[in-house]
Amino acid sequence: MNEPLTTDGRPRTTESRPGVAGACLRVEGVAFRYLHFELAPTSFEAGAGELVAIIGPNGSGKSTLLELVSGHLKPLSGRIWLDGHELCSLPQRRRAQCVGLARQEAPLLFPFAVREFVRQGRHPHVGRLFESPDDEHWVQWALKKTNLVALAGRLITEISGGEFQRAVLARTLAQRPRLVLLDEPTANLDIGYQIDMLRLLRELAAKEDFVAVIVTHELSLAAEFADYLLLLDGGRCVRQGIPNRVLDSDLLSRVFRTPVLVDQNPLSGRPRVTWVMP
Amino acid sequence: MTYSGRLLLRLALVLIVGIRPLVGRTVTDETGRSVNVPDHPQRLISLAPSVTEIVYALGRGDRLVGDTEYCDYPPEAKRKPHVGAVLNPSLEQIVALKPDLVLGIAEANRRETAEQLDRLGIPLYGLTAHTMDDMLRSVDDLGDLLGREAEAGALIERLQNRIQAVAERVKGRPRPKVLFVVWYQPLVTAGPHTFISDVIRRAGGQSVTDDVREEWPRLSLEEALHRDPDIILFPRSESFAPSLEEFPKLPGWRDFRAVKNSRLYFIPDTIVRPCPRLVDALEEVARVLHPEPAATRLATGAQQ
Amino acid sequence: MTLRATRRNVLSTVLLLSGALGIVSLAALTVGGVHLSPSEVWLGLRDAGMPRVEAAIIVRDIRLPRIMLAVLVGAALATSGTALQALLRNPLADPYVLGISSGAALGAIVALWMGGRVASASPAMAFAGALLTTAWVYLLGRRGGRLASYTLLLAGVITASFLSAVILFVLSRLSTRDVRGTAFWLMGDLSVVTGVQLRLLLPSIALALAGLYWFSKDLNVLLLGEEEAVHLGVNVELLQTVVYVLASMLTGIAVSVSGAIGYLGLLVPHLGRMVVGSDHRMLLPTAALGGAIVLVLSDTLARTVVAPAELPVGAVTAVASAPVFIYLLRRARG
Repeated sequence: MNEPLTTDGRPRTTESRPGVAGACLRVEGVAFRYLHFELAPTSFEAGAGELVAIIGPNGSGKSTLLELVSGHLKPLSGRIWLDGHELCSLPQRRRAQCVGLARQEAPLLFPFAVREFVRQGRHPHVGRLFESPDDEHWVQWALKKTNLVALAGRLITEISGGEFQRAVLARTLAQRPRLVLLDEPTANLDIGYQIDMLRLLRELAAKEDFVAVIVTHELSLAAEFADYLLLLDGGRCVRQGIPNRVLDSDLLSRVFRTPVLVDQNPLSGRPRVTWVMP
Repeated sequence: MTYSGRLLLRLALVLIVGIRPLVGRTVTDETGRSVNVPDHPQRLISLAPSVTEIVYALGRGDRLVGDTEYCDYPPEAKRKPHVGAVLNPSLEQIVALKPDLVLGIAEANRRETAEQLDRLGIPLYGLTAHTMDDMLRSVDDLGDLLGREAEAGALIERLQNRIQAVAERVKGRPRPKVLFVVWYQPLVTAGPHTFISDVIRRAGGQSVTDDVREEWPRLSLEEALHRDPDIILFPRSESFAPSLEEFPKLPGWRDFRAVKNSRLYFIPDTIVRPCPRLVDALEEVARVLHPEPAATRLATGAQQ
Repeated sequence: MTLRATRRNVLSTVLLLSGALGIVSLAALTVGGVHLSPSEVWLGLRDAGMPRVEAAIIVRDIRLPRIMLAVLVGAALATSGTALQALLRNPLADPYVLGISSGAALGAIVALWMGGRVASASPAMAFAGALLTTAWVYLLGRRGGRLASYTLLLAGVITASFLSAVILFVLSRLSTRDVRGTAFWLMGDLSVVTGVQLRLLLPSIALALAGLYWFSKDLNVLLLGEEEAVHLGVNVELLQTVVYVLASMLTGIAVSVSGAIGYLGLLVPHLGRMVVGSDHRMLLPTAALGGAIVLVLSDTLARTVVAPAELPVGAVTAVASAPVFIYLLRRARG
């Protein structure tokens, strides 16, 4: 908390480790249109070690924005740069080597072991058919970080929902991406696991120098863990900034169409969001 | 030319042509295929019961080294090594029996069997039978193949005499309408181009299927009822389950005029085999359609 | 159990299964309606003189081509089933679910109907039927210019139903003898194969198998989901098209020469997964060799159980599959 702040109030993480080239994400004016839905041009920036959270009611365009940021969905206008490369113009495989995107997945019908599942994350890096020892090293690393080593031999069809989500995170980590994008990573998890996962994500983002962007419903969690928030409503980013600036009672009440109280968490000093019963 | 002259000529020809294990000749079989058959076939295999019967009738039963499981006449045929069913005989068994001529029927055997025997270099002579004359011609052709021309001629003459006798007897009489039931569920009958219909015709009857194109037409019961046969004939075989007493009780069948008048008859199942005993069936059918005027009319109940 | 897919493991498995296949095939050569001792079989195999000894004819001209066909068709169907299960992400998929066998059957039956020279070319007509059906289902199953597994499956099922109805109609117009002949083909018949056919079959099936193996790792990723595969750098459009075409060709070739042998393409992949897991780098060769072994065994049974008559080999695979299915079901529930 005593770190120097940038102009928008965020702690300057990239400069706290001189000589390490941190990842750098720049989103500039990306817009999209579906049949009945439009995402207005949105821009933001983030650096290595930062956790960005996209929040907002259902249908506000959060998942669309996430997919646009990954570069896999081509925006109608605007550009995305990661480490100076324009994501949309990268070949698909190259893009998969630096961007990890994990969304809500249907459970598999086929019996893969957890380790094999996580190993899929190495696909963008592997030669035509067989993995190298290097690949195996990263798979093991991902399993360790997500606490899945004990389950590595179990079938993916036999683990719980929460463990499955950890496995998805492990698979994304195994990609060793510079940009980690997670859509509702904490859905269906117990509160304890939710906190663990976000804490882990933050730590890893800092240690491994990647940018993490998540979409989440959990406003309090976002408030606690995110360095930067984007609040979307009806396809527009109505406010972005550090949690303190974005999580404002009136704004949230308007956007979510229900009374909301925002005060301060006495333990962490971060904003705390409470729904008010009318 | 003297006898010894002819012998020398034959020897010379043999030497010129080369010594081959089988001196054969190329003939066209009854299906139009060109087949190289041996002059004096010693080891025959029959792929159909009717063919087996003809072979025995020509006195060459001893040369038959194999036949099908269904070859049951004459009784000796049952003791021959079997090569399988009519439709899908075992190639291995055929080969193991070392035949020099295989005899089959176009309607019953598979095309693939013919092709495979071709590839293995085993001659297959195919017979067909759509009419009684065809059957007689088969006897003649087999007589040629097996070196029994004289016996074939005699047999054909005897059969033709019997056929003629029947024709004389039924000449001028009104022809009853006949329904021949190959199978009753679904109702399968014999079309006009089968030997069965030919038998009915020569026995002085008229098949109700004369205007149908297919060989074994499947009629609906309504259609059959509409054609209003005077007489219904069934082949007598173990697989024909309902006895004649049961038939009038079956739904749909009891409405036939022929059933109400109890004019249902079993015919010996030689009627489905195009071989010399087909004439037996012809005589039986003629008796059914036109009972002897002199003898007392047989009871018009169900006859067995 | 899952066996990790390393070069060494894959190679060991392939060698082991190939050895098993060799043994089974040799045993099949000695078994048949006509009893031949192993020494007679050996002599028959080596025999090159004319005139041929009966054992040579039986062994080289009747049994050997048949066993070779069983190996090729078994490998083709099992691999096609595995690939289609991955493509459609559906463990109940089999090589016939997309209607290809119905198209081939219709081609063969139409050839029979037309009779004459065309009837002898029924494998070619069957293959033409398979090709047309493949193209038709492909066009029908596209959505937004891409193959989507859901629409592909629907398109295939609809086409299969329609073609089956047409087949029944044509069957009702055939003469009884041709219908009986068709019955063998519809249930699977390995007895009719020419040297020319085998010479065409071997390279084309081998190429298709190799082609599918080239994409085996991509198939693993495809199992995660189409979108997930894109996110992991897989060219999903290309993969789906290639896998669809190769699997369809394998099915079409197999069905054209041997009729629709059922259950092989559905069951062998599952058995393979039970033994080596779902990684296609291991599973594809296991399924191919396993399918060959199963079909050689089934055909041997078909030839011997009611000798000298023969069962259609499809009947044997059907009957043999029932206990395997039950076992799989109980394992899944327990």
